[in-house]
Amino acid sequence: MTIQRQYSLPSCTLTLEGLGETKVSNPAETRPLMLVLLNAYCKIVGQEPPLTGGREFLESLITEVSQYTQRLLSGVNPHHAPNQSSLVQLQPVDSAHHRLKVRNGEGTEERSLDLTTVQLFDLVEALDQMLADRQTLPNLSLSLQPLSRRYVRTSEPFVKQALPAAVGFSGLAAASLLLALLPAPKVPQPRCLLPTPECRAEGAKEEEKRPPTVASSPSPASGASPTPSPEATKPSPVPLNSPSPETAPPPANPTASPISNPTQVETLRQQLQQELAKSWKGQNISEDLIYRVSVSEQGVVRGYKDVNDKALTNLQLTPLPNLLKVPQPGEAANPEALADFKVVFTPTGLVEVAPWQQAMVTPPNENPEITNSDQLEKLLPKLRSQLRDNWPNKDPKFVKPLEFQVRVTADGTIDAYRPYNQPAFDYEVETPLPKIAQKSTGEIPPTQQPHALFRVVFTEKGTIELTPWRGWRNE
Amino acid sequence: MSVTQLNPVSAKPTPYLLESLADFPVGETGCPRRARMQIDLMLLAIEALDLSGSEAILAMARELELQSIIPNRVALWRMRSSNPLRRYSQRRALTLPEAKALVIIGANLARRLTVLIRQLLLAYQQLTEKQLSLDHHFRLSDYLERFRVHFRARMNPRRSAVAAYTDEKLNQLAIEQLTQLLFCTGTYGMQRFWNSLFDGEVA
Repeated sequence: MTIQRQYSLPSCTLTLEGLGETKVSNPAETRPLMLVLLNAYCKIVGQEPPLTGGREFLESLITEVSQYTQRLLSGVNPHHAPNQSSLVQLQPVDSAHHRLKVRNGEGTEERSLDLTTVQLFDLVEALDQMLADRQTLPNLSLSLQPLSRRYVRTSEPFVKQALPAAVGFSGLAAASLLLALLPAPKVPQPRCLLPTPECRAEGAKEEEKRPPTVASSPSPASGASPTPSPEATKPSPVPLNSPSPETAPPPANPTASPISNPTQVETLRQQLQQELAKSWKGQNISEDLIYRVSVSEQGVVRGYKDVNDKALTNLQLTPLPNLLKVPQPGEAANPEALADFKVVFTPTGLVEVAPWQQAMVTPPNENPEITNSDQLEKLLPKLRSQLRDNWPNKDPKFVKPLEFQVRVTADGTIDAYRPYNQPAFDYEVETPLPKIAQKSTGEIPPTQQPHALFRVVFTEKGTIELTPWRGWRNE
Repeated sequence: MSVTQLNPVSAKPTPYLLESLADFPVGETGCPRRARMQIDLMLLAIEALDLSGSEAILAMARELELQSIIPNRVALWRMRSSNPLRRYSQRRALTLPEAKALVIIGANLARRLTVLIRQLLLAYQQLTEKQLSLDHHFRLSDYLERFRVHFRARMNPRRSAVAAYTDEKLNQLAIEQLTQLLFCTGTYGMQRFWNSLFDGEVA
């Protein structure tokens, strides 16, 4: 006896044709039991003609639709590829569409339908109702179970997982191996942060050791101040008339050892003094001309360098250019021992010659910067009152603190200043400084006069903060 | 806090209804993280569909005689706060009977809302096919907006997983929840939904 069963939902109708028992075994049930499936028709609204197939098709449809729905609900996809042998396959198209692919029994023809989510639900529900119907194909059953961890967690093979880590580790190892081969850089500990006499001597010694091109550039004045002046970076100003750079003292040749024997140095000193004194009568100069002069063992002047500004401008008045004897190219090959002297031509016609190192250890007036706390403390109120008087306590236009480096002379007069941060550059005119002092955009030019450096901060609240540039120190 | 407080079910017999859902070995830690999030979001979607949703959840608990598991509003709130995304997320486990009770209640409420859920999903389908914005359907945009408001009000915005949800992504999430609810209304929908919560979590 042929039986037809139909499960209807708004967008999907499932029709089964089969053979069943003629007699009703269960008295409570009026419908006969369907045991053998002949044909299944699955009609989806708008998708003609209906999908048809036998038992294999129906079982395949049940399995695939149920598994796909569960994947859709959980969002967890198994890593293994879908079963290619299955007659029915479902794949997502987008968030609202699902593609159903059905092959016929021979596996030659394929149909592809795009189902909406609601259509998919109706298909699922039709199949579920059929499965729930105990009078239709009772041997068909639905197996629902969660996807095993085995199919999800190890989605990437171990080798693939380990590869990025291995690359990272080997890269690190290679880099550390290469870096281990590099020598550790030596960082010399800075010893002289303050312009004390000891440091001056150190600086002078170090200058001797340095190669000439470097050693010739910083003037002793800049050696005295921890902040190198812009002049220091200029090429050596003296050898205007010198034909070759080798003449520039200190020592022409880095391998030449300085003459250190005290008696020899004394002899050379006297020799140089006599020679210079012969032709120095104290020409029209207003202040001392100071030079650093290098002399060979034979007492020949091999080079000189001006130390103060007047020494440069009045060079031609001194006998030094006439005494200079540059070594011949052949001679230059042999390193020559030299002795350095500090030579001072005074306006009174005297020539003072002293060994350079000794002279630099105790310079007469070479440490013009005031760093002593007591003196700074006396200067500070003078500076404050000058700034305060010239800066009425009005509302400042700037919104960030203006920071300046300000130099004051020993009597407390503001001498020079320098904007130290960007707001200070921009709002400089707001402050009293342009009216009462000399501006310098770079470093404040060095001076021989005693002076003190202060950090002056004009705050946006209208207050002035003053601190010594190098902090408070008790010497 | 004692264990009996955490799990008031253990003392009483488990309601018969819970046996319609399979048991999975979850151990001491309770239900997996994704399950806790998913159950809470499902109930959130019901509340967005139905203005009296939160009352309906408690009423359904009474109707299904699950009061031994969900005796009151506070107990319900504590269970739902096991969702790690919650603003006041409770560091407590969601036990298997609790999760089952919530899923059964959710599925039953979804069945009542079947017509509305189908309508909204069909509307979404049509709007996306015509490439119109979701605001064109009043009922749908109403649902989406309520879902977004509920989500933002209850989830912890400092969690990167929550912060990552833009309005557009929240709409997408709301539609996903609607789909889940639709499948829950089916004959075996609840079982399938329950199993999906443990996908990839069982041996």
